[in-house]
Amino acid sequence: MPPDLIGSYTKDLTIELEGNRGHLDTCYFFTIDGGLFRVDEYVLSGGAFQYYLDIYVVACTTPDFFIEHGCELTDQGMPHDDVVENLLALDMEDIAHTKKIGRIAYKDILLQDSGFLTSAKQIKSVVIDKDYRAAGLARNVYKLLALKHSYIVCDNTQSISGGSLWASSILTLGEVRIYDTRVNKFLDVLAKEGRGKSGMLPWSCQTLTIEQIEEWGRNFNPNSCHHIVNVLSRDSLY
Amino acid sequence: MRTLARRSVQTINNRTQFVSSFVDSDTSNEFIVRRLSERDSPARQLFIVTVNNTVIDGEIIPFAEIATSASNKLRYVVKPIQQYPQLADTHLLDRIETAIAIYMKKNWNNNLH
Repeated sequence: MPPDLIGSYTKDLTIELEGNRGHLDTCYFFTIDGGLFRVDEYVLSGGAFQYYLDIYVVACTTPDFFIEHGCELTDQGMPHDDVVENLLALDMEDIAHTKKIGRIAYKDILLQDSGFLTSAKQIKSVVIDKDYRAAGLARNVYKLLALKHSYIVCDNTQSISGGSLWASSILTLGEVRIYDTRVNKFLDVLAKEGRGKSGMLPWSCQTLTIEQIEEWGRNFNPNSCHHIVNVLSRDSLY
Repeated sequence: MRTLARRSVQTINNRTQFVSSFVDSDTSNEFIVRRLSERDSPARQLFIVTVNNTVIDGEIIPFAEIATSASNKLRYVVKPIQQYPQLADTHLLDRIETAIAIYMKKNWNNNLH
């Protein structure tokens, strides 16, 4: 899908990525479903990907306290970044129980936007622990990546869940534009149910079974969309 | 303006498992409790409660989303008072929480409090 959809990926979070890694950055975010998370970003050389990040759920020395206190602060109207700062200032991380629950790998890609050549990051692999799926975790990380790298781009091949993430969840973050990598041009703006606002269908399902197409449950293009990608940019975040 | 929490109809149809349902006799609304089916740990369960399965633009506005925790307590991740303020009634929440407690006891021998 966007591109072209495939049935599934097999990914294992316990297998370390090959290559020499260099630490780039560490940041934190909070969600009311999962609590406090740490994101460690790396550059990778000699491996299959250029960059990746590991996502950890940060354990607290008093179980559930980070999530309960973070929710209280959020309910009081405290801005997200202040909630994170408050939780970190408590210095209550239980390092032994902090756990890796996700990894996202990406690479550089060039896009033409408004006549300018611009560098973007294209997502190449996403794996999230089963217990942390369907709760906005990837959406939060994509927002972090868009803020940090200005443009993030979906893969040319996606699993159904990866396509669904862009078709539903990422749409809530900002305006998602549809880009053709053959002609290097933005063609449409993604709307709901797998269709562009001007009617473009950016997903194809060429290798999916009927059951998998039913699972996708949205519009799709009968022609290959391998050259089509969806793009979220920092300037278009809501 | 506050944004309502939403779920795609695909998530509800493909990634959840039916837990329980009931019809509220006062309003005739049907409340359906579902569980995110991928979640393994009893401390990381998420229950999605919908009303009447109403779909708008391929999305469902859940009545509530309720998470379990390591300390065996329920936590409202999505709150009825924000989603459906006209329906947020204590007796409905009691029925939903009871349905979840029965499910957790039956499937994980987990006693919620």
